[in-house]
Amino acid sequence: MIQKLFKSILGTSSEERRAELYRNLIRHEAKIGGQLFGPVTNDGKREFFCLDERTWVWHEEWLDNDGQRKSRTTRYNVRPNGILKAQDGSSWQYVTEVEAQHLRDAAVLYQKRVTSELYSNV
Amino acid sequence: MNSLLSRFESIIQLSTKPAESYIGQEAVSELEGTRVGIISNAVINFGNPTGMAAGIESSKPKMVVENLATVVPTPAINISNPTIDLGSAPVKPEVAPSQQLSDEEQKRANLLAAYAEIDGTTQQDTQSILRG
Repeated sequence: MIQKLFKSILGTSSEERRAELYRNLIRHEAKIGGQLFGPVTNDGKREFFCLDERTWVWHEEWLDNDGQRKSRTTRYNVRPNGILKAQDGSSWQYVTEVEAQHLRDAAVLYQKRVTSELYSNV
Repeated sequence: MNSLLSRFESIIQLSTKPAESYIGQEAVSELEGTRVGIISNAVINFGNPTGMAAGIESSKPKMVVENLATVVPTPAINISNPTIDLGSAPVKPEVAPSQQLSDEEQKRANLLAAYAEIDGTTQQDTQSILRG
């Protein structure tokens, strides 16, 4: 048990540390990305981040009228011939031109924000 | 027992150190550089949105109008928000200028926050997304 606890705190190798740091960097980007679309309600949560060179993720949580917690995860896959979108594991569909423009605008803003707030020394 | 507790406490303290303590500044810089490169390429991959749209039109998408279809990205401070009356409300900093973080300090604070240990209770959702 103690070993498991130590492992969870320290990790077992430099590689694990690097992977953990990489995930933490993305998590922090996701918080910055969630601020690009204006305010979120106090009981809500929004994260938006670049997962890899082709994939963008939007995660939204909110309370519905019955006070039930809801969430939706949207993945965007940027391809040379268009942008595909899938929500909560549903099938992929091409997005409209408007949505493609919004995503591109968001990506440009995201790049500016994370570069200035996280990676300006790189 | 005290020895074990003492050892555990030292490990806890160690775990709050920045990531450089474990993998070195060079590795941290490499990871940050990797993210900058990926994001840059991800933006480049959008290419010409008009060209993409042409491809989209020809495929006659069946669209679910949600999220980015209806929500336009805005600057973090939305001055068009009617709840913020910039005309009458004096702009007053929340902390005295001497207490405000410099840009460099703020960037460092953000990085340290990113280096912080995983908060399993608040970040589980993102974690599950990352793991697919």
